[in-house]
Amino acid sequence: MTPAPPHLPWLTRGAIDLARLTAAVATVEHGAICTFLGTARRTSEGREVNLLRYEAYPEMAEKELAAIVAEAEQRFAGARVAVQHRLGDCPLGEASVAVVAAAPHRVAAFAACRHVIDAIKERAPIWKQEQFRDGAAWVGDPASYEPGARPPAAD
Amino acid sequence: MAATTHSHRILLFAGVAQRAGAREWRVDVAAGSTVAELREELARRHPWLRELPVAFAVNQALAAPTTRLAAGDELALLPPVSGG
Repeated sequence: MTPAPPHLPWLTRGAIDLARLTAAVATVEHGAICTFLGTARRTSEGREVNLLRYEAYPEMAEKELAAIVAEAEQRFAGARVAVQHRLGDCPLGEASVAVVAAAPHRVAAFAACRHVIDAIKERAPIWKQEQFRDGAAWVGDPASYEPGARPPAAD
Repeated sequence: MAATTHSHRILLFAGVAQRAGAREWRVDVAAGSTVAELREELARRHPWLRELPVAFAVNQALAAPTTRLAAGDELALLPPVSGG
């Protein structure tokens, strides 16, 4: 099998380029490519969201994403996985995360893709803030809601 | 004679950074302190921390309460993650 090229950046501040991620894992040995895109949704528990804002502990997030991908490639035979997570502002409808899993057959491609997105949500040190018209709150930390709240600027 | 202490930088994120109004804290901890002891010291200074289920990372990996801190360790407070 073709040796894996260096991974594209794990974290990006701009739009995710799905074609580049796909090209990074597709080879003639892979007969199945399964893609998951997590996209910014307008409603959250009945409230209208204007924008999602993401931040990460970048050095740890990169390590964790690399470990999650390595785990999936080991567990699902022949699988090769590319991942990119967006940081900063993510407008509604745009992708905040992409997982592209290539495998010789579809069963492993679906399974690897699912495994990786589930592990990212559970383990990667990345945080999502929902920006509403009148304030903002970090998901999973509802007490962080502040009218008009804006976090201190990231470095 | 004063006990040996280490000065640590603690990185803060998301709702923790918001409440702290800062991206990092600096604290002095006694040599050989554990993560649990550091958590207690931080909660004494910032009582709102007791309400938050934060995890600690030491050198960019999740740390158990019993992990002992060494000089130069990179520490971080991680609120519940919500990527994806």
